[in-house]
Amino acid sequence: MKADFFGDPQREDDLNDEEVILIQRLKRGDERAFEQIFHRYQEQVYNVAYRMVGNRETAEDMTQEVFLRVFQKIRGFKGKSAFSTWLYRLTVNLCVDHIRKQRAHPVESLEELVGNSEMDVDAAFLVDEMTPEDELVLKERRAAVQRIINSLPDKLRAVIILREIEGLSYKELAEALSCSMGRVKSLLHEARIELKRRIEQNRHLFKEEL
Amino acid sequence: MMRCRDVRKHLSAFLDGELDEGLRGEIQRHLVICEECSREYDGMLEAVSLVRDLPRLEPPQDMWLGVKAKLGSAAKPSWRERFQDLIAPWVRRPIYVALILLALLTASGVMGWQMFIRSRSDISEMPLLSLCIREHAQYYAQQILPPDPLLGSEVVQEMGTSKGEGITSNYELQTYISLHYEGE
Repeated sequence: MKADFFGDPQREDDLNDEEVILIQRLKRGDERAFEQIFHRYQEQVYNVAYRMVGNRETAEDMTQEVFLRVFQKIRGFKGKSAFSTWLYRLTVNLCVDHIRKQRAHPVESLEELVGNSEMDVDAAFLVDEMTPEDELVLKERRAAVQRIINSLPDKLRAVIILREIEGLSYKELAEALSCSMGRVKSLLHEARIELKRRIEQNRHLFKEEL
Repeated sequence: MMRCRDVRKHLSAFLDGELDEGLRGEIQRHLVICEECSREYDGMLEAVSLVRDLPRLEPPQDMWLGVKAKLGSAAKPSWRERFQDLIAPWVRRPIYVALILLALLTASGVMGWQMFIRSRSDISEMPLLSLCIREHAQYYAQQILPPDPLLGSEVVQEMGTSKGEGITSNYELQTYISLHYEGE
């Protein structure tokens, strides 16, 4: 399921008033409002965190940490950007901090990453009529894409995830990454060139058409 | 006719439909005739599609329980965070900070001036002392000095703390006053 109400102006408008009330209640420390906000946005935060860090357990920790920060910092949210964009910014920043701390033990090459992949992670999304061989190929391909995403520099990784997976507009990207629209364009261009280059380097993992 | 280098610079924005119509048309025409740029664009499109095709994951069911458990302790803002929250609105509006600093500077300036004046109180109190002596002298001259020695004592006491140190009686006070007026 996509984070469908982001980038869909109609749905965003529908939610706007309710969202504003929830945020106001949360600012007063209302835990029930917090719970509603959590359930509304957990899928979005969890998916971004997972694609940023590349593992479920850490993604879960990151998601919990993001929502604790939301509870603590909500008074600092002035509504200059959409709440979801603010949430994306928190998520990306926390994940980048985590990744930087993990760099005490850097991974030398993509081949090393292949050995640590989570091949079972997409098992629930395989097509029913696939043969076991096809399933394996698809899982390998998805795991390889994830590893390539994880091998990108932090900013390029963030912009690719927010654009290609979360579907943010250029304006939303600029707000989430705290940079100008021009910078978003150049970052996205650089990220796609780099993504393409790394995929071509691992062409053998992507040659099978499914 | 655009050069390949210029076309490639815009391929990402072209893919997103973020170019104006003129530029988009030029790039479209270039991609039709340039095999290399076309291959470059297809490669980018394929890379993007691979990422876009990644499935969305369902978050773990019990994640809220974990957040709730942590909320009791970690989610409560620390004193430092509360303080930061308290000053954040002020820090975000430098004009308020400037006004507060100005008010503090003014207040400290006024207080400093008062302290300076007080430190020179022997001078500042002279007109008062002089007035007191003058009045006392007038009373003497008119022979209406109250029999109650209290007034005299007060004057003596006041003078004893400043210029007329050592005067302990009305006689000495009268002498002092005469000298004072002669001096004036």
